[in-house]
Amino acid sequence: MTGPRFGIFVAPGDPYRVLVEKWRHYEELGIETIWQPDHFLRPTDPTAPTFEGWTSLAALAAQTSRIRMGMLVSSNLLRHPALLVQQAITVDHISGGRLEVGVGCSWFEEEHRRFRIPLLEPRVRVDRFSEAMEIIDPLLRGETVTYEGDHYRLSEARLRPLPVQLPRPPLTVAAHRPRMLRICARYADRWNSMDTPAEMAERNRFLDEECEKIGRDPAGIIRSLFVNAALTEGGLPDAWTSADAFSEVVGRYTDAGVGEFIFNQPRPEQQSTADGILSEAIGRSG
Amino acid sequence: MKGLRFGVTVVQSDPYLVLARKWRYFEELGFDSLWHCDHLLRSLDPTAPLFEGWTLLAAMAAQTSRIRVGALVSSNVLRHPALLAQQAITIDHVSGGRLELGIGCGWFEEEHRRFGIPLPEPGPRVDRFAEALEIIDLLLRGETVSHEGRHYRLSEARLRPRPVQSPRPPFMLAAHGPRMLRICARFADRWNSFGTVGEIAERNRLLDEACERIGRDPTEISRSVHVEAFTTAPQGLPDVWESPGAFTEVVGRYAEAGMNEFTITQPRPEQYGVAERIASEVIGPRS
Repeated sequence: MTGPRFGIFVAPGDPYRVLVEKWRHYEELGIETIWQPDHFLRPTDPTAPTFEGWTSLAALAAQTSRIRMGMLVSSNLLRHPALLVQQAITVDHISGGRLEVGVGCSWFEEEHRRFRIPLLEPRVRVDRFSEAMEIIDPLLRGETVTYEGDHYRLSEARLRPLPVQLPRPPLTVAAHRPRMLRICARYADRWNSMDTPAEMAERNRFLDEECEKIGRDPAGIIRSLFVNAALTEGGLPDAWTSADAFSEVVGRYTDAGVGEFIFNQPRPEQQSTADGILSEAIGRSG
Repeated sequence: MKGLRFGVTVVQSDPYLVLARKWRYFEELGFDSLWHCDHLLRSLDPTAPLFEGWTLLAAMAAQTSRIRVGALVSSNVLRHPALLAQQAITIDHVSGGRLELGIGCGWFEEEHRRFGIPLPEPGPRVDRFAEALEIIDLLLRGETVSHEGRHYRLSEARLRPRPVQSPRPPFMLAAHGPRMLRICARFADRWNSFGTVGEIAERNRLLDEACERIGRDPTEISRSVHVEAFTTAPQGLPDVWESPGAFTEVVGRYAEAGMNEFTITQPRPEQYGVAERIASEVIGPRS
């Protein structure tokens, strides 16, 4: 691959059959990865329909054959890490090794308030996420895990079967601040974030430094940007309006060190323009 | 065998492509439902491979077209009830309205001990199960739920979309003791248990009584029994997959005890030929 990588983010809010058609459409188009959220309520519209993340991912894995897929990202507070790993192993098998395991520490207050699942204060939430990663990584590798933490305790726990992808499916970690970026440096195969080019450049540099501190090759981590409405509202052109707008988005962030763009799906009226832009960009990227 | 329904449990320890073939095979043979368990470890052999129940159920729904699908049963202590409800809605859509929502209160100590997931004492565990059912029932009916309980609290929580099945997918509840049977009387569309013919007849009667006490028509609840060699053999009953006659005998005994649905552990590989005969001689000609 010479140019940037491209992924698409499709919120599972359409009727299921439409969702299947969308996934197959992006698979046809040659997009490398497809992503969806993991929420009870859709953050941009809490009254809108949204399917459960991992079960819809599993079904869509069964109905596609080439495209890679993952959650952007799975919320650590909604499930025990072992259940997350068992789900990941299962979807890796259903998909024949096409799973990207995306995880984050959780953030969506309204959902936690309504369903009264404690969101925890940020520091404790990151502590808990850090412990979860210490469990998820070895369980996904098929190791027997004994662990005594503040949030999780395991005694000789092991999951089988091994995943299809060995030693384990790639881990994507959503991180925006220093402590989460440090966790990324330790575990992530892909780092995902979203903000201005200047902020992305700064986090990118920080992640490089953290990798160097622990003796990890910084080039081993894909630098991935989630291009969503928040960025457009912040003044970035909407990539689906024209090839020029798309190139501008990609150009600005490529200069900030971003190597992968995960775009929110186009609106229906933008679909054909977006398809044209994407197939050309994929062709150029090789 | 008229009026009876037959399901098969397919243990999720085979390679995925083998499982997908088995699901379609039992669908083609004319069985009514397919089931698997919901555990981190397989209870009969904790070192064996075991796929996660709900993600695999999603694949089962996508890979079949007519047969009903469910977890026998989903453990209430592994997930928040809202997550279970959202999963159920999703699979009801993937399957086009074929989900059976199997739920139980959790029991497998070794899995809880190894993974450090608390398994409450039996009393609170059943309390928690009853509370979870109240929430799941309302969420699946598309209602906005506010709930102040001992175990769960929700404030104006609602899930969308609604399930395909209206008012909601049927609840298949696993229950063996009196308190769980009383909870069944309140919430179940199907009740599932296992045991000797005598034990099952007794629980059946308790469920009838529990229904009558709360003014529910007992015939609204299907009576489902799980049939496996470890319960039939000690009673001197044959293995159901031995022959069409053996199948009819075991089914007949439980039918006399009031049962009208059967979930049966999958045949062993050498029994597939007999299973096909049972399908064509016993299960197919029902209607």
